[in-house]
Amino acid sequence: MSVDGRAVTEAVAGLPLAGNEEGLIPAFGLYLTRHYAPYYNAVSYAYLHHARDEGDASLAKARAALVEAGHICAFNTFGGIMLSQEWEAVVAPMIEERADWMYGIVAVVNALGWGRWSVEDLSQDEMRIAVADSYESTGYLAEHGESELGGVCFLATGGVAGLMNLLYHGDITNRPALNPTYYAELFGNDAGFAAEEIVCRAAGADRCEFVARRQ
Amino acid sequence: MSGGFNYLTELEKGTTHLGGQSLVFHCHFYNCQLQEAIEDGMGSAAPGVLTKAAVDTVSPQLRAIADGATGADLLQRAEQLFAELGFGALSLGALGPDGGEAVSPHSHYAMGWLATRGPRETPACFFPAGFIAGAFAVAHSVDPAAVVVTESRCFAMGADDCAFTVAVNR
Repeated sequence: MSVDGRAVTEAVAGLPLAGNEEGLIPAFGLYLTRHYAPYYNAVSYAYLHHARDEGDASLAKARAALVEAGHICAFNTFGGIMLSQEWEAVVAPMIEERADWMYGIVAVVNALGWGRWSVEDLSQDEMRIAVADSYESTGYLAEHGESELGGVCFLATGGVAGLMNLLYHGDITNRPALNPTYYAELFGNDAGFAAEEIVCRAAGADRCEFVARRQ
Repeated sequence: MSGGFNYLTELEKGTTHLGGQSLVFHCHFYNCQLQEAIEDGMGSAAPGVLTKAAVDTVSPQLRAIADGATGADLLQRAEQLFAELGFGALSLGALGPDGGEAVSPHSHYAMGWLATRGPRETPACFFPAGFIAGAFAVAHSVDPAAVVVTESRCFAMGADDCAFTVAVNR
């Protein structure tokens, strides 16, 4: 690995990402918000618990919908960042091989307020990521106590799958257009990666761990 | 645009806080996708959940960062915060102690929805409505549960901007 993760994280954390005269944050081809983790947690877990009360089918649908939101996030946010001028300026000079793209984007994630991500193992067929202080598990524990529903880090689960789909199913290094057609190519069939949260802090673990594998 | 807010960023933990609340970056694609999932999954309960979550999040933060400000001064602070965090432009100057109208000439949620999904038949701005309710409650020392905010026009429905009617159940 040739990426200096700390330097990347510090560089991204130092970017002036605040609202312009219209109160908007256009960056990386997106409109960003510096949003409230407790808001995301409140609405996501209200939905999760509502679905649980409706039964297994609704609960499965809710989990899938919340993970799908993570896929959307990864595709657009991580993809947009990896195609940005800021990536070219800060991360690209450190990249020597394909895996470095992953170490670079994970270092960027660590500037987003999502907790501390680290790549534990990476190959073209599988990735394991550990997250300390994930905002989802932190919020769940604070509001609901220990989870009886297993892992609750749905955004992160979708995000981990999305990272692998961008780099080892699709090819973000070839600078594809991040449009609905490409999204369907990466996420709309069983040929890509899916992720699961194998342990979650909200369910009693010390940290959250994810694995993404080819389906 | 800077409101001079004091963020507490701990890079070794990957967290940022302001006024006791954890802040995370997310884009309009995710924000609209999550809102759509909750609207689809929770039906008629969704608007209340989406708005109340904003009230419950914003109210304590504004109390924490008010630095003694109340009334119009605090509402101005809330406008600055709303814009700095990327939610759009917000004008709360027409709100008095009994309520009134708030206007958002640029709303992240409405613009994001229109860009990713096209026009809606119902208002899109649940988070901004809750933000306004929370700000109003703190500014005028009103129980947040007594503040009713209704989006009367929405950019995502074809209006030129978003407007919110604020009323108090006393």
